Amino acid sequence: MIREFHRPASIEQAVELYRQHQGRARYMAGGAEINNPDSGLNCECAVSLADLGLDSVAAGRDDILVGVCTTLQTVMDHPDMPPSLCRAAGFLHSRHMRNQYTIGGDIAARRNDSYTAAALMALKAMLHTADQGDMSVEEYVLGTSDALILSVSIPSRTTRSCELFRQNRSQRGPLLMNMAVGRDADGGAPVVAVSGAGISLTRLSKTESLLASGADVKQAAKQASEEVPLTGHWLGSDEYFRHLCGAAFAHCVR
Amino acid sequence: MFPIEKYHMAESVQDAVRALAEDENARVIAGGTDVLIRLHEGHKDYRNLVDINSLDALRRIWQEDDGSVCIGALASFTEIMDHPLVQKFVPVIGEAVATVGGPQVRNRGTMGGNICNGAVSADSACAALVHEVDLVIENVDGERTESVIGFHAGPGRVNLKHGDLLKYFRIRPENYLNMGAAYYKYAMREAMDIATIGCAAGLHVTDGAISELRLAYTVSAPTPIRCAEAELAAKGQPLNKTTLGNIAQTVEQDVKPRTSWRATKEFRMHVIRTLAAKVITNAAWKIGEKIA
Amino acid sequence: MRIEFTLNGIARNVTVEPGMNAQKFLQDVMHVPSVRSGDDGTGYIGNDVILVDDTPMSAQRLIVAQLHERNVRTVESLSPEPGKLSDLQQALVESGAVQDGYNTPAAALLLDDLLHRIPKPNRQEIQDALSGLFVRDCGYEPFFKAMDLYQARKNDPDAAAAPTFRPEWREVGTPRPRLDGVSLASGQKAFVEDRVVPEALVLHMLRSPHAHAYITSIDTAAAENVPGVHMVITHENCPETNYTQAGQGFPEPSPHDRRMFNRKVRHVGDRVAAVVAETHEAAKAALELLKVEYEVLEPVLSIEQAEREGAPLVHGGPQQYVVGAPDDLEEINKNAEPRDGTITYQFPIGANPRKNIAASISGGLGDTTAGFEQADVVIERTYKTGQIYCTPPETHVVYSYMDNNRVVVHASTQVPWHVRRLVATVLGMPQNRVRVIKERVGGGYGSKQDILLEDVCAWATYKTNRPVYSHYTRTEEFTACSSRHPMTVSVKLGALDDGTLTAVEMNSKADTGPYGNHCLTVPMNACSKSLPLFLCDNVAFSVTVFYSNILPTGAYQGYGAPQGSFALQTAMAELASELGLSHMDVIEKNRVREGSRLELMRILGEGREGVAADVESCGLGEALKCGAESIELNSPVTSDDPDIRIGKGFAIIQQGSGLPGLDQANGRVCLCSDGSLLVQQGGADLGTGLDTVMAKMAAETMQVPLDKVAVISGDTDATPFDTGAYASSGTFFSGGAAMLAARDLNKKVLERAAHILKTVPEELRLDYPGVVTGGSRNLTLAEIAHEAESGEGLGPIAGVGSFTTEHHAIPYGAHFAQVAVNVRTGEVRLQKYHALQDCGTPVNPELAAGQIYGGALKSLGHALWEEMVLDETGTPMNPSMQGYCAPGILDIPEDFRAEFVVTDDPHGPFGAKSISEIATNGAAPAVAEAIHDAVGVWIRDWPFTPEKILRAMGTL
Repeated sequence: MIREFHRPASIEQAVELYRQHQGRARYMAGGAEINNPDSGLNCECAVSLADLGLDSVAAGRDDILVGVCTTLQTVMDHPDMPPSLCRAAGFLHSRHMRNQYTIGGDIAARRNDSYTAAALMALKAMLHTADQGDMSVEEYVLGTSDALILSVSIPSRTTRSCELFRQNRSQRGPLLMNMAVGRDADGGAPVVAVSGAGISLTRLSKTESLLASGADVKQAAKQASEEVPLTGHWLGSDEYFRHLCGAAFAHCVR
Repeated sequence: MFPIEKYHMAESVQDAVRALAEDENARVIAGGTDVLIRLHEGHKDYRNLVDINSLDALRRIWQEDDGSVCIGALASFTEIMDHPLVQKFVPVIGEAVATVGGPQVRNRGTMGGNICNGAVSADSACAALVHEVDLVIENVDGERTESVIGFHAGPGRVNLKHGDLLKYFRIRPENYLNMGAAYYKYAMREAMDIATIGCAAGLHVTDGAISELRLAYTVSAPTPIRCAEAELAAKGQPLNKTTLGNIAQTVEQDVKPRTSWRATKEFRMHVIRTLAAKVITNAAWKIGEKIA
Repeated sequence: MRIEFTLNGIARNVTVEPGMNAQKFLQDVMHVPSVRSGDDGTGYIGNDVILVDDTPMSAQRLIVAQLHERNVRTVESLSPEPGKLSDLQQALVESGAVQDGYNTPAAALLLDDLLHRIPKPNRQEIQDALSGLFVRDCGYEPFFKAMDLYQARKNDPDAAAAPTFRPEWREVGTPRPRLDGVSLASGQKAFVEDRVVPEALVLHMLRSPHAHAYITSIDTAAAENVPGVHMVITHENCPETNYTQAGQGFPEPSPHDRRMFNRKVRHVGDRVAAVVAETHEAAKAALELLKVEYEVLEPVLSIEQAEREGAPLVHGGPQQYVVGAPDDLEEINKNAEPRDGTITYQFPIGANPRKNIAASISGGLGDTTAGFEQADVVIERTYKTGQIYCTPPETHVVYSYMDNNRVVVHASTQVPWHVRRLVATVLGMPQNRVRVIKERVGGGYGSKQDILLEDVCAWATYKTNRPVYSHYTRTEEFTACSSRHPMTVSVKLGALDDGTLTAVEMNSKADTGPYGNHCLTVPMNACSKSLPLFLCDNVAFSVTVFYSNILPTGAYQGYGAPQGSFALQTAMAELASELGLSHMDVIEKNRVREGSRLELMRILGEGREGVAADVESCGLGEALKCGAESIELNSPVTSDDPDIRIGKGFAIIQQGSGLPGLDQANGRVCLCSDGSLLVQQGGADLGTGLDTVMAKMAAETMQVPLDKVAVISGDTDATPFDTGAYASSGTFFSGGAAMLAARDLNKKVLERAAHILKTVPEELRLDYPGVVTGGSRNLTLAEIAHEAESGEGLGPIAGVGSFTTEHHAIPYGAHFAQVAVNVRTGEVRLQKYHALQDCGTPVNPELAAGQIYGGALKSLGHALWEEMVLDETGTPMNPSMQGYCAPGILDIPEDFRAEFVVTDDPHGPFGAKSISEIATNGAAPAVAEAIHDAVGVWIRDWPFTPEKILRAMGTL
């Protein structure tokens, strides 16, 4: 239950407030996940980023800088956004929720069914933070940093591209399989990020190596299905999830 | 149709400066993009035109014996980007003009027009500041050289007197040798137009430390500027992440963004700081250095 | 914290806890009734949509502090004038998109925003705008119709909302704005939660964490001492009365197998204790302090486990019979377990709780053994269905208080009189001291035919003498609610080579879960609402229903028919496949037609002896012909995508119109002194539009325009008895009663007019618009009514009618599906779904269409995505909207159609039959056949998940 709510007027103030209330505080962008009773994100002291106006998007030739408070709907609508990210933002199948989910919140909540995290990992996107320097989205999502994210830098489609697969049970039902396969424009540096039911967000490094070495799609898909780390889920058998992972991979690299 | 009252097609530089001297209302029309926009806005200053488009001499790009690279005022952005001399010695100028609009605009836009109009969104101005470019100007009283440093007096105002004709830009070797330079620009879509922030960095590195940093921004300040405080803070510092962080913070003292934009100050400052780190890193990479 | 913001154009400032939830703030502090929850704060359903700076958002995902300096708008801001609807809201009402109406305000805001962004949105854009709204009643398709209507009316203000039927009538069969449309579309107070006074106590329930256990001790002392706690109710202090929570007529065919609180808990989520307190915080704190000890028992979690020799007994207590006790009852009760409590049977229902059998029945016609011997082909197939939930946007809710010595209960219920009877029984007071008022119902679909909260709340009110309010959480709406009985149905069909059936056998086992509400009648209905579709002389059925410790079951739209239909219709499709004949030919060869006599109905009574039925209207032929054409049933479709296979399928369906011989509805139509009519009826409109049906029938019969008729309904004090809105009785029974009452009024008006005009009634007639003609002068209804109330008058005129019947008026339908199956992922996409329905006369055509879409989408839900999953301890894995997967607007078929086949039933009022349940019966068999057509496999258990399809195909 949030008992204190602060509206810092500057980034420095925001970081300072957070440090003062360390342990009880959270940065709040849109608040959609902090205010979601299912998120388990306890917060007694909210440090709101709303007045910092970090909801703009700056497009460069090789990358696009997306402010932490940019909503997923803005990401979807932005003409300069890499198409795979537009698609990933659209994985939240509720338009009015997309008006309040932010790209920052989607990353920081570290949810297995995050809409954009896998795509961002596959694209090798970077985070600019206020207090802990730059780090990759991967490093942040798979780690425990509580840095104040200011923006996400995503390579443009001419630099790096990404294919996505996502299947839920029903369109707004629980996630079954989520995969993003990213590659440089020349096909190099493949990243295969996967998450799903009973599958924590992770990279399939052996599958990446196979891809990098030019192995054929069938072989790499088989590797993906074997490599995906399952913990079991009521939504389906291990056999099914392995199969679906392979199918997802084949779809992404077709 | 533009309301044009008088029009003269110059046949030579001398002819052009003479025509300009004769009529205090005369203005030069060169590549056309910025001026056409102004005309369209109905600026009464732009009714008497001296067209210098046929002065091919002003289109040349050449290297002098002392190694200076010279770029004619009428060289188009495309000609500049593609020229081997630019690519070899002053690639950041090519990088900067490459970010301007699309191919059609780049075919017609010129560096001369871009800098002389003092338009705050002048990508080449940034790169020029880092190379401390000389502007070679002619008028009826003869030729003179002005530095680009200080050339921009304020928004839309430059140190060109009436009757001046900019002929070419000169980049002296001491302003490009052993210097890694890079340019990057971000554009933010505002309600009616696009707001941009561009940044150029020129870097000299000795034994893993910054011996000199030249850092320039366009658009974010009232005029394109070099960041004196940030450059001072960088001098002698090791080329590492901490230094980059300090430079990015210090830039705030040099740069005062316009307040008219939708994007807030915090985000613009974030972009400005991010740009500093990015272009300095790219500049370092150009001379084979890495950020520790 | 001080918050300043604008609400619907007015500047407001308040001092509040910054962390207060914005939805609670807007509803409870700013008194905006339409910003509702219903989903435990997740915002999944979208009852809580608001506009913040003109951008639609979920209010529950905001705290008040985030509203500071923002411009907040709710549905009130759409009204051009107080009490008036905007063009968009009007279009929503008139196109049938407003049914339960619980989140119509949210829909209006989302669509209003859409129109600002895109003045002429296409289907995809409308879907996207509504993507975050969960609607269960109308299958979403009416929203597209509403947008079409909105656009059409810009050019033509008289553009019609829906087709008109029966042109010979003015109101019946003509689309008219539903009577409660303005209130629902503009978010006025209309639901139970809107009636609660600030000082009401709240009631929260402690629920069992175990599927099967005895409560060995329960210590309430600490809980009772929490400041603000008024009472704690447990099995130690609650009434002794045994009852059933089934909302059925007395004597119920369901065992009275529970008390308000039992010593034994029988499912995860079973009632353990209730805390009644001043605030939610106090109640929750008290719940934490209740000390309960359990003796945990082995649960039975399936039919197989329940029927096993030596299985733990769910109800091992002593049995009692009001009538028809078995001879060995004393013997049976010898080793009964007293801690299990007593089961009282009103009459035999084939129960044997010593074998976990809650009920059983069997019957037959002719000789199936001979029939199978005669057959050229015999197939036997077994089909399974899962545990499926109603998921209404409004969870179960009740508000009760004392008025002098009477208990008043505001309920969201389908059965006001059953509630009154049960409350009176449990409280031990006469029925004339209990008043039940049915408010608007935010979705019931059968779950509000069961009486899940009213008993305990009324008791709490009675004992504390205070108003008490209780509202199910969304989790409780899964764990402690009525659901579809899981069934395993074995079908055996015998046929000649030409497809003629020689014998049909349906043997069903059902799981009624922990309590026996509807345990006989739902599984029975699986047979009685599917077998009569075919004319075969040799038919046999058996139904055995087991107790278990899964989550509770009960009534749900369709009431067993979806399960039976799935089994029988899919079996018929498989039979055709085995015979190498076209499915359509086999159906045509064996199906019921107009003029058929259904002997089968003799053996299919609901716990009583049935009567053979004559089919006097049947639109099946037309439905089959139209559907086959519209979906191009015989033209295969291929996809460009090599991973996709496309297939088609269909099924015929039926339901009933109420329960002939069991149901009763009554109407009273009063003439006000200005000639307007007030209809008073007990019938419960749960969003179905029943009030409008009754009004139209009264208006038509009394020759007045619809806007001269007002309806009050569902109040046990102020309106006459009606059995309740279930078994699709609304149009047929309640509408029938309205018609009879109006006929009676018509007759009395003519008598009174004759008296005034000094002539005989036979000379006179009532003409439109409410004028008596044929006498020396014309008399208006107003003149007659005025005279009646004068000093020389004979008293105000009211017509009464009581509708009962032994006749069946069976609605029919045919549903057609086209699906695309991805052979790599197993995913099924719905390309087309065409539902052809014969409901006699569609009284409210646009609402009836919405019912069809709603029912069809529910069954597409159970066919493809929905199921409750329990782990090996009986704990539910997915008791949430996100986990349960009821379909949303992004799941609907790309081409979704509901069409009417008009027939004229001689028994139905104005030729009408029911429409409210039947559409839940067609999707599972139609889609099962379509999947088979696409990829050659039969999936015989719900839901048809990608994994099941891949396994059947041999890919896994």
